[in-house]
Amino acid sequence: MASKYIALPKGISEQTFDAAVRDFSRVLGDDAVLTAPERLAPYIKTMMPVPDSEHTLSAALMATTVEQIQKILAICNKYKIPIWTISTGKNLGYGSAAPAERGQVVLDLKRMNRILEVDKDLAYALVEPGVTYQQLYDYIKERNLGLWLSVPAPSAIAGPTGNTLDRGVGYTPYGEHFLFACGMEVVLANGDVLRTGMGSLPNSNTWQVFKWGYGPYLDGIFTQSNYGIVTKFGFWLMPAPPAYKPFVIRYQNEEDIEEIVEIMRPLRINGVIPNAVVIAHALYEAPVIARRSDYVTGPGSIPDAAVRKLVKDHNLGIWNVYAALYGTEEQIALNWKIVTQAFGKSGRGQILTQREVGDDPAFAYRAALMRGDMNLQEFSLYNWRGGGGSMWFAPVSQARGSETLKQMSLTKQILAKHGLDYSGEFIVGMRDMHHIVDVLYDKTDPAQEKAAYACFDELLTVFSAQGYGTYRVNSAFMDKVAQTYGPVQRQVHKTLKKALDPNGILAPGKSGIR
Amino acid sequence: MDVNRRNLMKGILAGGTLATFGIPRLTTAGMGPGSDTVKTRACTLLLGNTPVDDAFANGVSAAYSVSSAAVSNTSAQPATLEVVKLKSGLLVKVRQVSELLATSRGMRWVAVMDDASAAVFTEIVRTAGGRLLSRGTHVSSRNVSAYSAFQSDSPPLLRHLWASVSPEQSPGAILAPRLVGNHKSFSIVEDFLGETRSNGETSSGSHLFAPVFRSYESTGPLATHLHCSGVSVSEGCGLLGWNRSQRWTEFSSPRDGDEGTQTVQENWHPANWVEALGYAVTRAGLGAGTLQEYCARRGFVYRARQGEWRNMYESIFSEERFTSFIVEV
Repeated sequence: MASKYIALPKGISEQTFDAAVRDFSRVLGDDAVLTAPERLAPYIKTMMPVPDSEHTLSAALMATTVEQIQKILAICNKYKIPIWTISTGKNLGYGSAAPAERGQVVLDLKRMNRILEVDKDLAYALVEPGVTYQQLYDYIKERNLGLWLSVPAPSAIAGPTGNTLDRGVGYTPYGEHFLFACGMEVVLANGDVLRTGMGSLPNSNTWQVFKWGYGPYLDGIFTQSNYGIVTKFGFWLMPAPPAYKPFVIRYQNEEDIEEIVEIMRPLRINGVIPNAVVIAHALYEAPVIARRSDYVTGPGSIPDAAVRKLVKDHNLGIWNVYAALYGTEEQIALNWKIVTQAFGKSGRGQILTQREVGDDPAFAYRAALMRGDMNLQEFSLYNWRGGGGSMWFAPVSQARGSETLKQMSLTKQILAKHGLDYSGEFIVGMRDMHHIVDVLYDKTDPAQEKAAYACFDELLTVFSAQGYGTYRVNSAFMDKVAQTYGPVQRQVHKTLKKALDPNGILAPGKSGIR
Repeated sequence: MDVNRRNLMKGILAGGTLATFGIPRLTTAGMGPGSDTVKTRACTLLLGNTPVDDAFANGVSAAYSVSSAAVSNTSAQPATLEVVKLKSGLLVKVRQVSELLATSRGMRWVAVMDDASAAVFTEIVRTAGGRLLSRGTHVSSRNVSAYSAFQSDSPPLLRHLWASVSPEQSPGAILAPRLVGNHKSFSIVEDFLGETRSNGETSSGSHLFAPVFRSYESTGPLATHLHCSGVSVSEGCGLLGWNRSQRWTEFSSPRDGDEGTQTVQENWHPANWVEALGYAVTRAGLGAGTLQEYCARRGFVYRARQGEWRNMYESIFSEERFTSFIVEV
């Protein structure tokens, strides 16, 4: 039967939804309640190998104040309407702005975009969820505050709140974003407003400088979760260093990753190399400078011989290690000596700086990201296969050479079985590594779409069976990943959900929590 | 700033002396025959620095000519189709494009760009509060082994996948007959977001766009239309990845003598599939000439009789992947 909505929340009649929409309009005004298909269409593209119709929203709401959010939640509780909250909604490859389940109402906080405070001396910021990195970057630059951001690959168009709440990473010394989060304001499902940490104390001026407050630390339960709506977010900024030296080390064999990680780990742990280093495979780098079709046609994954030719043609490494040194010229000179000695010993790696690589576009975008500049070149990955399909496979690995080689080989083998390429990189934390693989496929080819789904499913199954957990996943596979962490954790998540959101109105399905 | 803004000019490929291409203002897409007002709509073409930019623009230009001719008898004022060419691509110029959209309120855009830029473009359209009427993903591959494999379930080498608000704004029905003329096997899948009300009527005008196609409908949970030429309905389903066991009812078949012949009666003929695409997207964007089929999903599958590799027109676009848009801000 025809409906005036493109989707309805599960179990909600059109009549009930009509009433809810009328109430939403009374709170927000008609122009902030979107139900027209052409207004909702930009929320729907997911890039996942499932029909977009499974993630079609019923409406989008544009709130601008905490009070409006409280009223929206009251309406949602009244009618049992589920809402899916986004800040800027740039979670590309993880489901983008689309809800986890068909029919959910998207609460879009992009209009809550005030930069509330940036403290130059204490180097922190307090922002609303709609603030983008570009906005904050401009703010800092205009005022010459001498502070750096740490941004993920979508940099300019994404924002710190959403990225940190989904536990995203950047590439500066502040690259593990949640580590540098400090204080949140959260609207709970019952409308209460919680300020975490020191923020709960009236007249406190330490909300953005001391993370822990008193009693159980709560900030963590509002990341990758659906227990509340974060409306203010504090985080630390990096003082701009007096000097900065980005570099790349190129290795020519896949097995070399063992050596890379073994050399890198102590340098990372002892702080010689302070930033979130990237070890990028050639196929992660290639889309910036080459076309897949110039090296391979037809079905199947790209052969190793073609990758070697590509590497040779474009002066890449099979592994490309991007790192940087920060500090005074003296500090950098000293650390540079340590780095070059460590990586130069075996003679396998070629160490290059800006001077040697010139205007190499791959180096340029990595160098920009490692100093927190805005740069979208990483999206070139989407041109590699073409056809609009992408899912990030993101298992965590120990920072141990043998482990990284094992994960890489296993991933490559499973991808190849399904005819897909290994476009992967490792982002080096202190003791862990985020193994990030873009599972790229062509959505216009039904067989390839089917293969991509099967491949991703197999990756999750095989990796979890070997004890490798996934730290983040797209909304089509959230339940599966939640299951890999076992029944006890799931039950705890569920218990918290019941306690904080008894009607289950906040983003049901997020991280597999309902 | 290397965002180039200019008017669409005749001879865009030739690059010779160019003159402004003035045309009458066009009627809005949703204007019904009974409407007594003619609203004007400015339209801008955004070229995202892809290898197909010029060919796509040729198709756009042709569509604009046809549309303008259709309204030339009205008293509307002439309008110009503006063209914005992103010399270094959207990934580099995202800020400029965001600002451009923000300052183009009321403007309808037809755009073509690579898939990476398209992912970002969708985001900035949403951020700008824009309306996304149609987004098409287009793939032409040169997988030689698949030429023979097209007998089985391998997908055609030329594939289009659209997500559109409604059939009225989706280019598939305009594109399909023009691709038939190029003698290259292809598939088109269109998913529609909007209202699929039928008021009891089914599509009955398939002859308007594609007499060589046999047309079928399936009324499961998702009202679906499938138009096949050179393949059976079962083969068509297989090639599109649709469920073969679905029940289909034929509602239109080719007239005698139609099958395999050129089907589009007009003066302009595309030189290649990209031009045909530019034409179809623009015609849909202008809301002119699209067959209104009431369904939630539509597919076209065509298998060429001749060897695809022999089509000289296609050789210059043997391996292309890009995205087209119709948006309004």
